[in-house]
Amino acid sequence: MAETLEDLIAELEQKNIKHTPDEIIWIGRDAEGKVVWLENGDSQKGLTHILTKRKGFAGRQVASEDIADLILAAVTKGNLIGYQGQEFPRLVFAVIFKGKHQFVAVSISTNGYIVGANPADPSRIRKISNG
Amino acid sequence: MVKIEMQPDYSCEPLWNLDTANFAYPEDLPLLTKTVERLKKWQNVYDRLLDLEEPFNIGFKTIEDNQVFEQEGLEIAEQMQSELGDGYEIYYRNERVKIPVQA
Repeated sequence: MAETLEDLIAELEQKNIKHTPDEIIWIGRDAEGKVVWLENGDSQKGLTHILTKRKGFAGRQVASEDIADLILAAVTKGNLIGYQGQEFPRLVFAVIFKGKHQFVAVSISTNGYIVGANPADPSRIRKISNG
Repeated sequence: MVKIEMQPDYSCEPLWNLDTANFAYPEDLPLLTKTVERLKKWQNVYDRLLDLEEPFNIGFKTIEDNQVFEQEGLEIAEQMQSELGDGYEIYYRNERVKIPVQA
């Protein structure tokens, strides 16, 4: 039986992971089975923070109202292909979203909270080596 | 006309080229070295807000810290507009930057 939103929130509660149920936009599992979720947040984290980059996403043909769904698709169904940044690098996922190839860089906290995301520069991704 | 937006974000370049829909890299722009360094320092301040262990702690510790950061960002954006001239439009957090009138 498929997991419901309530099941996944219950898992956060069971593991005593801080979250704000009423603020959750979506919740799912990443490729490793870890619960990841996006909250409304504020200007420094979460969807509110991510939407400050709406013009950047618009330039990649992603409408503001689709940004949350793009990030969900990236972290739950996308391919992790590399990293962006140095000290606390964002994970870069390749995903097909609404018929287009997209590269999305995402900051995911240790507990699964989605902190931020941006359209990645394909030419500057530090790719994961296969060797 | 090149349109560049300045927005801080974690582990990101602070500049976005609205025309190419990609980062604008400060060292590729005709900016003074000291302006590029000031911009990187400003970005580093934002990067240090990131706390991946306790995401609910992310943010400025005081309103004053936030105000200082925003004021510095706006001044850097104005400096960039001044150095880059008429061929560029600089936006700071979605607002078009104007060159301050010199006294």
